[in-house]
Amino acid sequence: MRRLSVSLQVAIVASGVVLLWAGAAAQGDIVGVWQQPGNGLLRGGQYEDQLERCCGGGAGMGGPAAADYLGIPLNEAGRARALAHDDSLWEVPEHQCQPHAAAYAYWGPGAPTISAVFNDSQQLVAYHIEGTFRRLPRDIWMDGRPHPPEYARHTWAGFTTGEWKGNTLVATTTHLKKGWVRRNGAPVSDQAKLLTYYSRHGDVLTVTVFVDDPVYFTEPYIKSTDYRLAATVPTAQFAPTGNAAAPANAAVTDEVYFRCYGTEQVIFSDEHPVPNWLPGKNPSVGEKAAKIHVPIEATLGYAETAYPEYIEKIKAWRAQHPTDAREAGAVKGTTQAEPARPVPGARGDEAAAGISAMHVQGNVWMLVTPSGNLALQVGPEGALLVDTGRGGTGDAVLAAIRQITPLPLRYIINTSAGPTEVGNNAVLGALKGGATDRRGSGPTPAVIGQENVLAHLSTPAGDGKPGFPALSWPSDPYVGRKRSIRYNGEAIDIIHQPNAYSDADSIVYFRKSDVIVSGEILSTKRFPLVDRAHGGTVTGVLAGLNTMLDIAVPAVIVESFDEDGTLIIPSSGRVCDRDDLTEYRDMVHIARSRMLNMVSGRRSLDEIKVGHPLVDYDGRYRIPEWTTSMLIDAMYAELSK
Amino acid sequence: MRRTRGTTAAILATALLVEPASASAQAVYQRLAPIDLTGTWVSVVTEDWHLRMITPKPGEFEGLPLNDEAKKLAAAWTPSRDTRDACQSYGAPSIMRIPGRVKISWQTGGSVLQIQTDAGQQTRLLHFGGVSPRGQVGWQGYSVASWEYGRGFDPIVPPAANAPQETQARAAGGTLKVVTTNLKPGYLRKNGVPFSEQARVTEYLELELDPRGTPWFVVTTILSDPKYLLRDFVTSSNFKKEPDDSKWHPTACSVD
Repeated sequence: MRRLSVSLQVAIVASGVVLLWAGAAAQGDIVGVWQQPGNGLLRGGQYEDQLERCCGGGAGMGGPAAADYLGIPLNEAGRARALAHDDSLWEVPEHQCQPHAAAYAYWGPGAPTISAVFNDSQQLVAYHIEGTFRRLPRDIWMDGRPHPPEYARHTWAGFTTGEWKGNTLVATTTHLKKGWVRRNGAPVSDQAKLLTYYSRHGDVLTVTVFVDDPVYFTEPYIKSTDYRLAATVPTAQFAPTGNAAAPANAAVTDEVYFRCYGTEQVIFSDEHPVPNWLPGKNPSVGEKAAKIHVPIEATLGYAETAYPEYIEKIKAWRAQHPTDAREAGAVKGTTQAEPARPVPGARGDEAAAGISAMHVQGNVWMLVTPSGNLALQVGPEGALLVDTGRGGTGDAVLAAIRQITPLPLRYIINTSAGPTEVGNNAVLGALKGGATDRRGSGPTPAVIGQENVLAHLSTPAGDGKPGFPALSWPSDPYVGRKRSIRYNGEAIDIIHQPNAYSDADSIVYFRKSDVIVSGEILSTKRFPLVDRAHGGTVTGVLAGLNTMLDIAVPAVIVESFDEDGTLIIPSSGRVCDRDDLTEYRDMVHIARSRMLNMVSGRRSLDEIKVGHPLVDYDGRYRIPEWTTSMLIDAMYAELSK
Repeated sequence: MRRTRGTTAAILATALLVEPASASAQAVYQRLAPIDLTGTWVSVVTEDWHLRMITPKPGEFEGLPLNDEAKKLAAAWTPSRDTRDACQSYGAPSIMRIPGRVKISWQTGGSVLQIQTDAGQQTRLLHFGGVSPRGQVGWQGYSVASWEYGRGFDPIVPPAANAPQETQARAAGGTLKVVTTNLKPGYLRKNGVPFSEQARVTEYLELELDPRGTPWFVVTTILSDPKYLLRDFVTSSNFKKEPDDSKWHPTACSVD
């Protein structure tokens, strides 16, 4: 739009030679209700990738074809992860209600509604976005606040900050959950970072998302999509039952966003199924290639396939294979190959010194130490500490507790006999009156642990002396499956999980706060740890993860997606919710399934390792202290018996 | 922060004193460019791959708001019978969706921005200065270009910019808007989906950095064609900056 300002009039008068400037001030405001550019607020109307976003013949209501990863710059890990995906996974209750993560949110059905949030001084605080699939709300913080620490929760929406650059709002998103960039299993990891550009041109909004994922991509993945400003605000209604969707021909006012809770859509033979394809067994590989007559590799997500020069390869390949792609095979191989090499990028434990405290939910806090997480429950009766941290850090733990409560420490629970769980037992368990300033008198905290914790700590080491001093031993060991106590007005279940990390594991569930402490069974930083010398098994870890999944309850999606529900404090890494737990459980299940398959096929340990069976998780979960090779050794020893 | 009219007037006055009227009035469009789009860029095809990297099969026109007449024409298309100019699918409505590299440069005088494509060897001329479309119809039609500045920069400027204004323009950032008409009827997709002589293409080019600092431009293309489309067809296409033009590979228009 051309504007004739006072200044221009002055200039024209002054010079007589001034040209009318063909520029204009742009409308940068993104507030409004945005709909797909075609004929639909919620479904349909996509002009780009219409087949895969709407009705391409994939699972369920439509969607992309299986094993179609055209144009996605997957690395070997990403490809392996994608090809392990079985669409039946969406039928598993834990997965049924998951929304699209931020990396894909704008490609799902929906009409994003963007509003501006101001503070009392009328300063812009955030843009708030509703209306994407499953009504996952998102905020773009504009007030300069920093991104949260690494150990904070990761969510489907992630944490986003923004700033205006020119006509464009540039938003940076971190703290994402593992999600997908195409809903046929093309993965994006929880380590990904998004840059999203919102550019408004009249009544058109272009959203461009760059996904930088060091775990699964070889280069940043870019997608852009467009919306039209809606003339009216859609009135979203809800389906009458669980996951029902509106009929395809529903009018706008009859559309649904879904309300959702996991149900038994399919009866699986396993109690805790994780449908997945073993390496080399995905039956859909090649289907898309055959359909559009291109090399199979084109559909498997190599970055080079997105560049123009790849057209020449297609033409050359077609010249050699004039009819059918499946018969002729691929440029890079005739069948889906098992991953060829591991992916670098191991993540070591955090090196930060000191202890940070983070309120989790209800009465429960997480204490983040350099070697792992502790949990603290506080209330009018005092404090309860789950695990005591690595030895030598007792003073720091006490200081962290005092930052949260001055009241005495009455209970200590050990989730296992590991060094991070019991390292400061002798110090903290000896506090008179539980006084964290060491100035108290009276009874010391009760130290609770499964009986095998006591057994391991009191077992003589090589020199005939107990491995840990008697002051470290649980003063109140429990026998059997469970111990429950009530403290600070809250029921607390201490549940034995046999033969998981070890034979002495406990899961702690704070019922009122709705927080689980996993012990060593769960970590967002490493593969499952198994202490085989003390009865640990991967099978037991998997059972422990499923036990926690049985306890954890997500929020029901009604009017908006709620990222709360049961929260879990892992042994190391960030605070988790049930979806994070599901992701980790899936990984352990899949890893164990692959190993079981190879062991039953009588493949040797060396043969198994050469095939890099965990390449899709290696870059995410390997740490120097517990490498993929160590895990494979442990699983092989366990499963080949 | 938005400049006041008084400030603008002062800048104008200063500019007129510093820059004599004889200075190139046209070059101001180049000098006051809020973004630098010059260089060689490569399209990265992460969406509609099967429609862009290969010629879609006859009858594949999903995702297009075609009216019945257009559908009828598109459905009747067969590659063997199509003897028209192969460049008909390289016109302005579709050229930015065709995989390839584009080279963007200012032409002498700084009022025309040129976009060359190696795929199909097309040349687009984007004319600044509010001129009206002229000339004969062609695959690339006639394009009128303008800058849309970012927040905080007043669009009213004198014909000859001075250094402070150039700095302000770049700091403001902005968008290149291009409106193209005078188009020769052609194909929106290589499989015979038509656009007509009534087609009008409005494009917005944005400059963006990816998380690793590599520049990209994203072009939002809005095609209106009352003859064949039920409503505007909107797409956006992504181009990554290349360090040089060593991969520039001119090829003739092709039907496949």
